[in-house]
Amino acid sequence: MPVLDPLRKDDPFTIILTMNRRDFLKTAAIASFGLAARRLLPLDTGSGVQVGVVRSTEIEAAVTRAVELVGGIGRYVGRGDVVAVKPNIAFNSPPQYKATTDPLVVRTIVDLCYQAGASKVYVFDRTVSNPRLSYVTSGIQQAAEEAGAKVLQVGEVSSKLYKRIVVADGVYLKETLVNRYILESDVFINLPVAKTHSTAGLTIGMKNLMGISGDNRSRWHWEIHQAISDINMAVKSDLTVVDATAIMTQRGPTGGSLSYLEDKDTIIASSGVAQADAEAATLFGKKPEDLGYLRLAEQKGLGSITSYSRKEISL
Amino acid sequence: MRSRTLKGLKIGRIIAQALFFGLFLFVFIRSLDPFAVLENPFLRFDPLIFLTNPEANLRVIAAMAALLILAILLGRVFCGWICPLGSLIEALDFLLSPLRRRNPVALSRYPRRKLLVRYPVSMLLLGAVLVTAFTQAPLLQFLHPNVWIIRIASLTPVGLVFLGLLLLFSIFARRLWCTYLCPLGALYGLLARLPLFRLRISACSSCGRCDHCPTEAANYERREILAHQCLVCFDYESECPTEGFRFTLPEAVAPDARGTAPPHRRRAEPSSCSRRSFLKHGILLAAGFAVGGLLTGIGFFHRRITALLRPPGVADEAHFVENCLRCLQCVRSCPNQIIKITGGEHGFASLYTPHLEFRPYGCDYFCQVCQQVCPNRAIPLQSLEQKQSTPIGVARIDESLCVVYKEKFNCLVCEEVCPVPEKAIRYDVTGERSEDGEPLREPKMIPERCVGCGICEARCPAEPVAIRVFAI
Repeated sequence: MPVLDPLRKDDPFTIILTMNRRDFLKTAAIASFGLAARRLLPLDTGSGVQVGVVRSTEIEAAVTRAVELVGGIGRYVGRGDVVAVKPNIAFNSPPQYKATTDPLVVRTIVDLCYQAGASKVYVFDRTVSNPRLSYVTSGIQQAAEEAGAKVLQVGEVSSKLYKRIVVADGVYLKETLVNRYILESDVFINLPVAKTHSTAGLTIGMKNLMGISGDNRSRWHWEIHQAISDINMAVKSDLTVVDATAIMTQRGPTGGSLSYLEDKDTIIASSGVAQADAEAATLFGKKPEDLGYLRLAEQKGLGSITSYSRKEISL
Repeated sequence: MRSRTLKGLKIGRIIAQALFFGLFLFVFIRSLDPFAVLENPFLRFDPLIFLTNPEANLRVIAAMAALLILAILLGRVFCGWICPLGSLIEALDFLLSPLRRRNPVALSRYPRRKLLVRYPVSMLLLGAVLVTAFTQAPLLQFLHPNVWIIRIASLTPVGLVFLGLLLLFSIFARRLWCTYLCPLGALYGLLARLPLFRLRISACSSCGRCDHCPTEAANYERREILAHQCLVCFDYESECPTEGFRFTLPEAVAPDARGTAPPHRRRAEPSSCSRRSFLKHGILLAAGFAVGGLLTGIGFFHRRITALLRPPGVADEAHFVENCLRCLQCVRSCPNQIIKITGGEHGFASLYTPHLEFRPYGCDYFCQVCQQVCPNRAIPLQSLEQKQSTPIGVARIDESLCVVYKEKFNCLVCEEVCPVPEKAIRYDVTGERSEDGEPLREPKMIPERCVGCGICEARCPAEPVAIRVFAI
């Protein structure tokens, strides 16, 4: 479960104050055995670099290697964990247009989670187009289900599916509805696709998190950089894997023409969502600090967007 | 015919009804799934519906002809064995039979009904339907049984009202709709009058069991079966003690073969196959033509100019209103549920036609479900490229409502969600700055690129909505 308090994520007391009952009991149980809970440690202290970049046309191998570069899937997913995976399934658009995350990236991540011993993997997004059409047309429903994930249809925003959380230190968002499957799962994996976006500049990992909210997200566009950085402070992605196999360089985020795509054959994995986005931004020829929400992310404490440890390999 | 054969035919008929009703339900339910859309064969292959849109229906002319030939050869087999609404009515008749038997004002208590059985109102309705089909006025749409069954299955308000009416009918008589009102039944009935293989009475002991005939087609007193009413259902024929029914050509029947003379013959009424009776059916039809013509003449079907947004691909509003069956299958099948039912506010001509309202979604750029389910091609079935380039309407930005113009902060949701690859909305950088210091970007329409899908309207965060699609 992502830590809600942005300030001291390594402070057990803060965590206890902000976590729900289920997590509290779990943490208490773990603590009583004198074990340090893996999740209470800052994630960047493990093995591996902060950002792993793999260049390859083999998507499966690239995803697997990229995750290995940032510590391996075992660093993020433990035995028995419930995992929430959030690809970008925003539009009813065939996969070749790359308006949605590549289904093979989703399938590979689900496979890796189960290999690491996950008990359950949920895959979902709150789509802009009709959910059913988007899930099927993008190919993600089939890919995820074949890998054994449970694909959740997120249609109407109900209190059964969403929970209102307070955004500590939120500038634009003071509180927001967040999908319960993310709040109540042990691990949250963010699987964006890299595209241009007229309001935000680029949509990669941080912008992808708008899809976890049950609020009127169109409104967020009025202060999009604050909104994006706020939601990323409220709900942290444990692992971000960016599908940059082909990036949409114009007319995003919908695209709809192969001529808008540029082959990059790149998969980026990172434990920090801001660093994943910073790395992906360079593929568009942009500097991370060109993006308002990345600047805000650094200011708000999501880590440096210009200096981070990275490793790049080609397969 | 042997009683056993007749019983077998009755069971066969019930099985056929169950299968066809099952087929109807299967197709209907499947078509609620946008990835499993099927055409409804009961609407697709129909001689009356064929008339409303002959060009689009030419490719199914063989199926339509087969139904007509079936009626010519064997009578109203469609009504008795196939029609899903007929099967539903039969089920209701069965369920409500206790009420009907106790009904003091049931139709069976009025001897004059026999005249209506002989010369049913449905002939007149058929006449009106035929004439309005040629003048392209929407009347058939409100009288066709295969359309009503879809409206009932769709649980639309008007469908449920009709179901209530059918329940009421069942308390008064069996197969009341089929006997007295159905214009499709009347069409098959007219063809059934041709002197080919029909069920006939060749021997009779005047036991009166033929009174069980659901459509009152059999008349043992006259030793005749009204071919235009007989549904060939074999409902009661096996009970005939003399096994006097024959399925034959007219010459093969020797009346009173066993010397059982009819108890009495009233000479005033002609036999069902006489010229006079033919003439009277003709008069009814002609009266129907007159009624249809009159309704058209007084402007009952007059189409008011509407600004309604029609489902994707509809380019010609007049053509659409004429061909739309008002079956509402598109309303039910639309995955985005943006196809709404038009009420009476735009006149009778637009009543129960579908129109679009873009909340909470627009018309999906890659979706063609309504085109695929439309049984009469009123919503034409296009290629995806055609569908994506036929405008539903055109969007307009109201700058007095748009927050970029009004409040000076960036939004651009409309441009972002525009599914047209070249984008029908562009933005101008004005040199002004928004609140967060970014350059202000004002959205501008490129009307010639707009397909009127309404996704921008559905997503616009302003209240009231600052971008709306208008009919062209």
